[in-house]
Amino acid sequence: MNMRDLIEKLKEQPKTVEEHREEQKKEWLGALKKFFTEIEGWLTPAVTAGVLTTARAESEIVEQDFGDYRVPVLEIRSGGLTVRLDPVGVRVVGVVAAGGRRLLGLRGRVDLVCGPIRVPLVRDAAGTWKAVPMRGEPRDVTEESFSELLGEVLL
Amino acid sequence: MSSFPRADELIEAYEDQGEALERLFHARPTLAADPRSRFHKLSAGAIQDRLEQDRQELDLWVVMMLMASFEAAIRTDAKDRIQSRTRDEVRKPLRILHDKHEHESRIRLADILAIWEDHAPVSASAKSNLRILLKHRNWLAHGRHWTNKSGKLPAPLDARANLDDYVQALQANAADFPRG
Repeated sequence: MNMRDLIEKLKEQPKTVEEHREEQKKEWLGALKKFFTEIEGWLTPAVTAGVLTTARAESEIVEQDFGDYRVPVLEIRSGGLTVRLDPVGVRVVGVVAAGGRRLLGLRGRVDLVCGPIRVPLVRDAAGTWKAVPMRGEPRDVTEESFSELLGEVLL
Repeated sequence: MSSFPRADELIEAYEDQGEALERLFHARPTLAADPRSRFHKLSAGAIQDRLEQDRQELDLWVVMMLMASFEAAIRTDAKDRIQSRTRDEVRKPLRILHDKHEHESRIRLADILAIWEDHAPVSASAKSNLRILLKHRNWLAHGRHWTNKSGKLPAPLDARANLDDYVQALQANAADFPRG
């Protein structure tokens, strides 16, 4: 690292707790945007085939560290049903997977909600999203696993 | 001994009911076609909305019941510890607290917890998570008539895990917790 790099890095460093939280919130909102865009990309063939539609909405969440803020919500509709991807927050204490196993060190959570079904999708420290169903093992959210998940919910 | 269901009993019942709701959801065409069903003639969307509402309520009830179960365990333990004259660090301060409030209707839960936290290695996060759960509990138990500013209410399994963290910290000081 040379002096110019050091100056840039020091400039980028958050200076107060509020600024640090603002950075965290910005990073979380960026991750949500990227995640939803990726899912919309996976769903494009189904939308083109006319079996699904997608829409974006917004909701407000309240977190102790960040206060009230608006987040995007992704809605997937098919045959009179709506699957909602509902952001829960960036501060996730721990999510309990099947068999009582705890997932810790998480950096965000979105719930996939359809009627009484609620599947937490959690983001780990490396930025990988995992689905945590009530029964069965947690699995990485990929195009294939997301299709399976939607099939389980909608069919 | 408290007659209130324990956390594991509540979670067992919750998981049964959660699965029942999911199975109802997947059986929606049958339900809509059955004249004896409460869901007769409802559209898929209407059944979805109704079962989502049912699930939300179920989650709220279970979190409130878990908190009540936790409070029952804390209070029953304190009473038993005092009566049984246990030889541990918390009995004496619990006894002093009890004597101080002898003529009052009841001792504040927060005061009992403060005694435990003075003697047991409860981490800052376990304390903070419990305080958040207690705020949610107040909101639930007192009619939800104000805006809950304590963040999203944890799901029952997450609430139970947070309560377990706290209880395990108390057990590090008193392995026989909860007594009674």
